[in-house]
Amino acid sequence: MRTFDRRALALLLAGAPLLLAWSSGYYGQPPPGVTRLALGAHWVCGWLIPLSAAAVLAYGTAARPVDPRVTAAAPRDPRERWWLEHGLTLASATVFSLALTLGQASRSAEPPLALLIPAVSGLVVAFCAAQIAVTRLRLSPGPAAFAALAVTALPVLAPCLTPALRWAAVDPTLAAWMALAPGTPPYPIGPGAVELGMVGPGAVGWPVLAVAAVVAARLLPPDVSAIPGGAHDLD
Amino acid sequence: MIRTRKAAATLLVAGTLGALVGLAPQAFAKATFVDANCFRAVGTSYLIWDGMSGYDNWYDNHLAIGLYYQGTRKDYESVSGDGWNLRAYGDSRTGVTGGKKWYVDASAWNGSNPWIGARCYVT
Repeated sequence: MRTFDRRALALLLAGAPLLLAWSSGYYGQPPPGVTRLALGAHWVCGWLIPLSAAAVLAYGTAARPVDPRVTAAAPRDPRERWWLEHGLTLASATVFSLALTLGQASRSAEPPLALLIPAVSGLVVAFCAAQIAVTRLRLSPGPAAFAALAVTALPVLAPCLTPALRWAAVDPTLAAWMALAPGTPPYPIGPGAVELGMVGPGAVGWPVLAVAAVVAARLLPPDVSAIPGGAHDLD
Repeated sequence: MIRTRKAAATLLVAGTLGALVGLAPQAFAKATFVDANCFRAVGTSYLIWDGMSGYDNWYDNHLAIGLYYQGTRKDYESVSGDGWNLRAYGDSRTGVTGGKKWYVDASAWNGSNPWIGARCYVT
């Protein structure tokens, strides 16, 4: 049975300065009426949590070489077995992230759901990206972490940095804050006000796409022996 | 049974660490000095809430809301007629972990358009 390589947790140190700067309100220029703490909480929960999860899980689950004969003799397809073998790791990452998100919400005065929804959506994408990188692409730890990180960055970062893609953002609030020029109200209030939605097409669509990709990677090819690569298994 | 206990302990540790990591950095936060002034420029007019800086000072203090129109400030209570009118405002004060939360919603209009609106938070 493969186990999670705890050395992968060292990758979290890379995000520590960002966590400190963002969640302390020392960085960022929020739109008027929005505090740096609120903006930082969205960066932490919408960006940092999914990206860190993708890198750590991909690195940690790809790091234990297994004799190919053992892999071939195992009762289930390794693409399915990944979820079972690392179930506790995935659950721990989820619990850790949700607790961190609630902590951020309590101190930034942001509604918890406004942070939980993007965090959970991003985590689903991160888990799926790591699973495909490790079991379908059979990448070794470093490339697997980079690939999972890059794939997860696409849905969580790109729509926030590209106003034209704002509709696809996992975190609609963050995308709105980042897309609007300073001085422009992010939302009108009062009679006839339109509140920002916490759930956009991106919060649902990207996780669905990610799960579909996992299913496709399980079905094609149907036989695991047809998957190329995996040279690091022989190390 | 042992595996179940180990799993439960792992999840408990993960949750505790997550809560600590989520809360700890904000111990260094500038929360008590968050600038709550709302400043929105629409043309030559501005909607400003003034005097709200400083966490320690706002509680039980008088709410000071100023509406600026072409460089001249008017108090919200007397704004009417020409220029910008303050259409609505409100405030609420509720407790949050480790401190208090304050916000005010307000908006103003000239005729029917354009709207300017703001939501200020102090945490």
